[in-house]
Amino acid sequence: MYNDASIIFQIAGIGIIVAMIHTILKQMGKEEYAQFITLVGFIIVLMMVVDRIAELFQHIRSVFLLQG
Amino acid sequence: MIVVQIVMMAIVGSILILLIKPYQPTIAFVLILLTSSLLFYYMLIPIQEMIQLLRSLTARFDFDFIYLDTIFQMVGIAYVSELGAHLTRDIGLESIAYKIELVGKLFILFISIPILMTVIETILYFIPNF
Repeated sequence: MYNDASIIFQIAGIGIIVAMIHTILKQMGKEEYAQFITLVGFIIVLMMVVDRIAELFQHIRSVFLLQG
Repeated sequence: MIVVQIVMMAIVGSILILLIKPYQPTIAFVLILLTSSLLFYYMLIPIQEMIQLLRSLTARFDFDFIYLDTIFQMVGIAYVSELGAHLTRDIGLESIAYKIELVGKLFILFISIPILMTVIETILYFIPNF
C-alpha cells in the first residue's frame, strides 16, 4: 500500500479544489458555506490519511516488538 | 536506487505543501503528516532487516542474550517519540514536542529497569559481605 506516492497528489488536488471553491463562495458572499466547504474538505482528507497512519503505527509495533 | 525515489518524493511533497499552505493551512498540515509518515515508513524497511538479522544471529549461535528484545523496544520507543516530536514541531508546537520527547525518555528509562536490576544483582554477587 505504501509503494505508491499518488496519495500525495490526490490530497494536494483536493486541497487546491477546496481552496478554489472557498474563494468562489467567498466572492459570492456566502461566508458560512465557504467555512463549511473547508471543514468538509479537511474531513475527507483526514479520512484518507488516517488509514495510512494506522498502518504505519501497526508496522512500527510489529517491527520493534512493542506488543504490550 | 531507492534513495533517489525517496528524496524526489520528499521534494515533490514539499512543493505541494508550499503551494497549498497559503490557501488551506489545515490540509497542508495533513499533507505534512502524510509525507513524514511515508518517509518514516521507508526508514523502517532497513531497520526491520537489521533487526531480523540480529535475531537470526542470536538464534543460530544459541547466544543467551535475553535482553535483545528490550533493546529493540527502546529503539522503537525512541523512533515513535522522534516521529511525534518532529510532526508537532513541524506545525509550530514546540512545547508539545518537548513533552513528547520527555515521555519517550521516561519510558526508555522504565523499560531499562530490569537490565539495571540485573547489573546491580551481579555486582552484589561479587561482594562477599552481602
